[in-house]
Amino acid sequence: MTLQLVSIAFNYDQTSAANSAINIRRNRDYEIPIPEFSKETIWDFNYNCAAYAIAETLNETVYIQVEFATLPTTVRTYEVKATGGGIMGNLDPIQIVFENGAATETNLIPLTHRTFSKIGAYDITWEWSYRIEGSNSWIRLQTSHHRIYLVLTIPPAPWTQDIGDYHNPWGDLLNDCCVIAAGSEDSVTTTRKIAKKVYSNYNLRYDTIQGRGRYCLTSSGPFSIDNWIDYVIRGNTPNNPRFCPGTPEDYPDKWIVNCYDCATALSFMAKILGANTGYNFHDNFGYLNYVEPIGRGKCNNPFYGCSGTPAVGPDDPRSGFGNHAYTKLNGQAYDACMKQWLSSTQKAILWLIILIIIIFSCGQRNIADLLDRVGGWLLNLSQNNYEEFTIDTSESFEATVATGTPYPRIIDF
Amino acid sequence: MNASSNHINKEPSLRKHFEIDRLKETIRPVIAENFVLEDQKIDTLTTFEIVHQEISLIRTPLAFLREYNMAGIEKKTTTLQLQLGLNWNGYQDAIELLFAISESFQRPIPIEKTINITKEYDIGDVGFAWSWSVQKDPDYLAFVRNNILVNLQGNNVQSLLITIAKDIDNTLTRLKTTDHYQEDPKGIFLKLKEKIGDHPNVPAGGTLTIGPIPCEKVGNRHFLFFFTPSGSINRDRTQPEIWYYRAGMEEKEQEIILFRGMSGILPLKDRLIISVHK
Repeated sequence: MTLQLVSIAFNYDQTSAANSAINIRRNRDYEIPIPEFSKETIWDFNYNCAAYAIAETLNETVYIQVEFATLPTTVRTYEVKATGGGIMGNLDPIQIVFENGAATETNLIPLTHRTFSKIGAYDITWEWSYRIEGSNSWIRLQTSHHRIYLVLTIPPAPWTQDIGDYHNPWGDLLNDCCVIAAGSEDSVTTTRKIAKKVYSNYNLRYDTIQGRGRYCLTSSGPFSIDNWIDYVIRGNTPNNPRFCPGTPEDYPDKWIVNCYDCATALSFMAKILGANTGYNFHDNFGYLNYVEPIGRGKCNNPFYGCSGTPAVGPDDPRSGFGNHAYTKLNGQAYDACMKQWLSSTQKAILWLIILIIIIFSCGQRNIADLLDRVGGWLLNLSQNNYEEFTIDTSESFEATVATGTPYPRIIDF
Repeated sequence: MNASSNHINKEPSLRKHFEIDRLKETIRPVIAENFVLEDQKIDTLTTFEIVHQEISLIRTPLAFLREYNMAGIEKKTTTLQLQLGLNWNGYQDAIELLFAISESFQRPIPIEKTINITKEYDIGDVGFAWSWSVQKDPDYLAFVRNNILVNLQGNNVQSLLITIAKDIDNTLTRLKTTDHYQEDPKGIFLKLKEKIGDHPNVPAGGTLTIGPIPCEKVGNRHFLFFFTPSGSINRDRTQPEIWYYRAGMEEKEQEIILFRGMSGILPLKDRLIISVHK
């Protein structure tokens, strides 16, 4: 073969998120090489991968940088194109000229037909072909495979785009978050999907003894993101230590969490997708209405230990939250640590309301928030609504302790 | 509302209760010998085996936190979590960390039932314990001895916590101390400096190979932490035992600080000054 595809760099310009992929790394220990695609990484999508920010690339010309090689004695001018490409689109023919006897040539190729619109982890394939100048027939060059992540915008702090920084977004986290929030086009939908995933799908259970974090070392962090990825997202939790060993509540301790863990995880996972969420700490939270803490059932007495009663009478003496943490996006509250408990009657009434709204709006009204309410989800709520649903202030002894307000805290990893 | 052990109180925080500002006025030395739990003959821990360990860095205040999870050798339902935090900058930071960790519960701390274990049992320079339930024996205990934070809790160990804490404190008290820590004279950067000079130059965005960095792997993490104003310390993808520095884009003299532990809680500190240029 007279022409070879040597490498492809997606993040060829580390200072631009508009014309190039953004700066990412694999995890705490490993960087992602640039060029990302080379003979060493052909089949390793942990490294042969790139991420693009949808907002920053909008209406911009995005390029990839491709290196070709040829034998010094062969033809000097070629045309190259690629078909397929999924969201990256096919690549229109471009001319490659090896000047002054050069053996390699690097060209910027525009992604003219890309479709960057929705969050996702996309495995794409390009079928490369070329033809010699003056020839009509295309010759197959190579097939290349790549993993491409699309995020809404440049991930905000603690993630950074500073070159070489270990806070560059981690591929190990993008890999899962882009799948969880796949198809999302806005921050609200993204945060909603991540919150539901954290609450429902990771085998996590609330710490009913102390409400202690396993991943946030203190209520202000730092967050053990490595352990979160390994133990929670990948499910590699160690069998020991145990929570409540020898009781019906016996469970792997590293799958026990508190609300600092859930709020931080939600914030970090949404942020890596470009949703600018924030961790909020709410001191003097108070007594709870009936809720469903993560991995638990109906409960207004969250610290019932290994064998107590999670739900007592609505105003009975019971335990409550000395403090709480949840996530905020655009001033709205998102809680990945608990849901509101609703009775069958309450659910039936909410369904009726939804039905009426659908009928009167001829199906035009976005009912995502209403459906979440039926499910008891505490997502995209105003602060007043959030507190109304979760904090019990019906008796004076309950009202007098619910004196706190949330304030944002910066958490790092 | 009765006076249940669970009720939310309106009492001052733990910090106010123990007058943290007053506690921080004291100056104490730092331990100069490593504390390797496995090497210590702590009688009360001989009935336990270590089942899981983790190592973490807390940047503010600068501390290395090692968590030992233990289970009873014969009675597996007896479990103990021991956290040992070495505060690099000394006693005041250890006090700060003691309160930061001890106040990180969503469950309201029963301050009225908190025991001052330093006064009552002569454990630590500062320490306290409490029970979440109505029982007398504490099920949470934490104290600081010099620059070391000790934090104990577990399942079915309430009657042992004070004794275990006392044993650990006695061991910590026997360790040699110093005023502050020095850099490792045989640091990991020594060979590098011999080869490329005391102040190597690295192009902005470029790399500097450090080579192998001996350190302990604790759980899924290396006992290896770095500080640098920009850039990062990374592992070579094709030779994972080789570490390298990736410079950031700030073109100026920069300090790379490495902390690496071979065992226990006391790491070695290494420092390298580099010049990042165009």
